[in-house]
This record gives sequence, structure tokens and C-alpha cells, in this order.
Amino acid sequence: MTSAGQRRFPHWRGDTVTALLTLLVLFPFFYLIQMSFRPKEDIFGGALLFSPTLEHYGALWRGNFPFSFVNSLVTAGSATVLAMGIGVPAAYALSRASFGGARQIGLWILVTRMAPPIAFTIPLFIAYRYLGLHDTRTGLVIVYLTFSLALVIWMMKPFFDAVPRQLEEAAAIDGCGTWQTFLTVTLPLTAPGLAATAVICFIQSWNDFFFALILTRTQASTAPVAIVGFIQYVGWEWGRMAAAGTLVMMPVVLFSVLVRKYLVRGLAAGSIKG
Amino acid sequence: MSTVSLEGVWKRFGDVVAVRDVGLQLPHGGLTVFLGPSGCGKTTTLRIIAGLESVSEGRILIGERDVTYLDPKDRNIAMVFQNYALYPHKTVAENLGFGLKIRGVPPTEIAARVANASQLLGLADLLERRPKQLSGGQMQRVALGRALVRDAEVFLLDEPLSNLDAKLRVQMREEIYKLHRRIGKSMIYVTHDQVEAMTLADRIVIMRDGVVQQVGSPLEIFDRPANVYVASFIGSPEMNLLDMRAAGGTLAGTSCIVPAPAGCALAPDAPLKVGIRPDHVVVVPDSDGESASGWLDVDVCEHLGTTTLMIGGFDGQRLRVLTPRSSAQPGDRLAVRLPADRLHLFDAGSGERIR
Repeated sequence: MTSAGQRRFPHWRGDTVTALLTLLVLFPFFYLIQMSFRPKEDIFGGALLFSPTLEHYGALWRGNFPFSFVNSLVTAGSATVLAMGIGVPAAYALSRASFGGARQIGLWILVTRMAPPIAFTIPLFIAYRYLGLHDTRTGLVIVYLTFSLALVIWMMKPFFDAVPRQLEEAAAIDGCGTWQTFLTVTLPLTAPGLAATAVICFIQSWNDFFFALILTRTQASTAPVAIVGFIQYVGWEWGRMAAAGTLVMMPVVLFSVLVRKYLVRGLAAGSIKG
Repeated sequence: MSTVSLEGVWKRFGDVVAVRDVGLQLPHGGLTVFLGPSGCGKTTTLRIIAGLESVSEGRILIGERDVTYLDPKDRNIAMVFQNYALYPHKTVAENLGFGLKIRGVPPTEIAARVANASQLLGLADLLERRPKQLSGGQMQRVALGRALVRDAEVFLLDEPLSNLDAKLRVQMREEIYKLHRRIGKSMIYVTHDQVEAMTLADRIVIMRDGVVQQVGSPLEIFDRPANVYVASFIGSPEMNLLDMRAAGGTLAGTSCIVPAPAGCALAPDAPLKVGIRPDHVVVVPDSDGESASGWLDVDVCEHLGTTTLMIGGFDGQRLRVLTPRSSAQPGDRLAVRLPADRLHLFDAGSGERIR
């Protein structure tokens, strides 16, 4: 019999592999970040030692980028809040549903995610021109919302499925109505799921490039689109692209780190029920 | 005055009938036990009283109020669930006080009542813990406490002890008994354990396939089971049920004749189920062979310490005999007598009690 300490592979081997893989995955990020601090002349320099500069960030600040950044924050933020506000109760309803066709409704919600986004662009573009939603934040929020809703509903449903009904029955006996039960008992128990879903939802809208490129021009253009703007006829502004890229990355990283505990628990709980 | 009344209650789940025309009047302040095997409709009936299931037909009254279509929260009931259903994200104190908080009881009074209940159940040291940090017995106590702090009219307990180990179960059974005597509230208790039912109940309701079989005090049911099902369900070891025929003033088996109980008119040659509890069968000493009803060929001997359970062939059928500790061995042949006044007679067809 082998004891628990005697494994087939010693610890250090696993750790080394993990470290190597992590480095490999994170290398582009580090490269991008160091690039954003390098002086313009030395942008592709390989030397590890250089005098860092904030000139690219300064240039971004003076240009249009802050405006696009705020656009990104507002659209992704609003889409997330709305998608959670609408999608979470919907997921709960589907989870507890006993009405006929509940399964079909669930499936049709998922279908909206199956078609490639490009299939919607031309109809959306034309419709938005007519409705005056072209190049508006509202327009973008609506598009993001339609895609996030399906995600929220399908991510949250297993979390609600995992909450035992007897807890809700206990709450009903304790004197709660349907909404009170939902808010005081069911929802707190799905907190990890809520955090994970909100993060993924936000990242999805935040990272969108395609719709923002097609459906906006100047007023509502988002940060990812703004980055492409640095590719110009006169030359590619690598420094500014790196700085903007770093900034676009930051909210996602911060958000994930803040709710990391919930995120891991949430993603795992979603995969194996109970 | 009855606290809970059910009038012609039916419950159907699609084509399955879970509860069939149940009518009950449960007395005020009593402890009623719904007893039956799993799937007999006892839990469904409890859930109907709680308002967690709707009725398909019939009426439910609590006190004088028709609550048939009221939400659980408006019925003034408290319930203890089989798996406790404690809120995992709340502390013990919050679990206990949740019902009061929802009902808008002032915080000072909540604190007082929680303190009171936790004192009563020995939970005072655990108030800041979460359910995950409690043992099974402690969780059970919290579940009881959550029901207790509410000043409910009726307490519903759904197999509250079935998740506990045997020793703890006996202990909690005693506590529930004492608790009921102390608070004097009406309780309805669902279980499949006849020992729990016999020890706790003022009144037992025996159910099978959604139909109430018999209602009565534990000893009434033990002494006069209403049908073959109740007879075999209550009592351990199980009652013997022998196939016999009526013949004049006697009961005839294939090879034996037993005097029939006095004062019962039996149709001649009517097929009967004759019931007798294992401890009522008398082993006749050899010297007194005349009074014996027949012979028991012992196959199995279970020596239980104080008593000995012998199982063997009697008149071509199986008979269980419980005697004080004896030295009987498998293969022994003993003369046994079935005393007439200990016999229960049931109709062989319907299974209903004749006498």
C-alpha cells in the first residue's frame, strides 16, 4: 500500500509544469504591459532594463481614448446590470417552472446564442439607422443585453436548481411570500453563481469589438474600437496601443481578482450540481 | 374542540392518487402521529395541512378557519422538515429568529424568544454557529427551535428523527415527548417507525395507499386493529395471521380445531384470517397435552435474552411464538395453545375486522 505522500509524481515536477504553463499563458500580457512603459524609440527593444515612461498614457489621456473608455464602462456596466436584473429572475422562474413548455422556452433562449453574430449585423445596422440607435450607447447596451441574457439565464439556472426546495418551503412556513423567499433565502445562497455570472457577463460585453465597430462611429465608440484607431496611415502607434490595451485589461483583471473566491467556487458549482 | 380538520381531502398527481378521501378531526393540544410505510400519503397529507401542496378536492380547517386556499404563511403553522432545512447562510440565532423577523416582531422580543427557545433546547452555546458547524442532533434541535419560537397554532413534524442514528433518535424522541407536554400545543408528527408512533402519540392515524386505515390511541390500535393490514403493521414481532374456517363454535384449520372467541356470530364455513400476537400464543407443558391446539415444529430459534422467539410450522402454516427465555432448539416439537380471548378475527376477503 502506498501512503498518500508517495505519489507517482513528486510535487516539484507538477509545480514546475504549472509555472511553465502559467508563464507561457501570461507572457503576452507581460509583454504588452512592459511595452506600454517603454520609450517610443525603444518600443520593440529586448533589453530587460529600460527607463520606464508614462508618455503613452499621457498621450492617451490627452486624446479621445478616455471618452471611449467611459463608453465601454457605461455600456458594459449597464448591459450587465440589466442582464442580471432581468436574467436572474428569469433563470429562477425556469428552474422552478412547472408549466408546460418550460423546457422549450429554455431551449429557445439558448438558440439565440447559436447563430453567428455576423448574421445579425446587417439587419441590426439597418434597423438601428431607422430607429436612430446607430452610434448611441443605448443601441450598444441593447445588443449586449440580448446576448448576455441567454448567458445569464443558462448560467444561473443550475445554481437555482441546486438550492433545495425545502429551504424555500421552510421560508414559506416562516412567513415569506414568493419574492421575500427569493430575496432572503434563495438569492444569498447563489451568491457565488451571481458573482461568476456577473463577471463573465461584464467581460463578454467589455471585450466586444465586432458590434461596437459596426454599430458605432464616434459618439459611442468603445475602447477596443479606439485601439484600432491607433493603426493609421502615417504609422502604427505601438506605444499607445500597448497602453490602451493595458488599460482595457485592467478592469477585467481587477474585477476577477476581487471576486476570485466566488468565481472559482461558482464556476465549479455550475459544473457539478450540488 | 378540534384544531385541525380535514374534510374529504383528495390529492392527485396526474393519474396517481396520493391521498384518497381523507377525513380527520384532530383534537386540540394532542400529539397525532401519521403512521404508514413510505408512499402511503402521510407526508403528502402533512404538506397539504401545511399548505405546501394544494388539495385536489376537500377542505382543511385550522381552528374555525377554512385555510384550504391560504398560503402557508397565513396558516399560523410551524414545521420541522425531515432534512431540517436550516438556512445555510444564517447563524443559529438568525435561523431561529427568521420567522419572527419576517413577521415584523421587534428585535428585542426576537432576542428574548430566541434566548428562551435556545435555553429550552440546550442551544445557548451554539447561537453564533452556522448549520454546517453543527452535528445532526444539534441541527435537529435548531429545526425544532425554529418551530418553537413561533407561537404557532399547530406544529407539523415530518419524520424529524429519521436522519439521526439510533441512540440519538431515542434521546430526541424523549425530548419531543417532554416538549409536547410542556408547551401543550397541537402537534402532527409523521413517521414510518411504529415505535415512535406508539411512544409519542395520543392518537395514531394509520395510512396506506392514501387511505386512512384506522384512527385511535396507540393501545386501542394495538388491541383492536381494524383490519389485517393494521394488525400486521403494528406490533413487533408481527402478528400471526392464520387461514382458518368457521365451523360451529370453533375455528378449523387443516388439522386443528381452535375454540372461537365467545359471542361472535360467524357464517358457517366462512374463510377467515385468524390473528394472534406471538406473545399471546401459550406453550403447553407436556403433562397438559389435552388443552393444546396443535403442534409447533420449531425451525428457527431467536434467543433475545429476556425472551425467545420461535418460528416454525403449525398446522401447515408459519407461526411465531414469543415466550420467556427458553432452551428450545430448532427441531423441537412443542404443544401450543391459541387462547380464544386473544384471537383477532378478520374477513379473509376484505381483511376487515370481524371481532
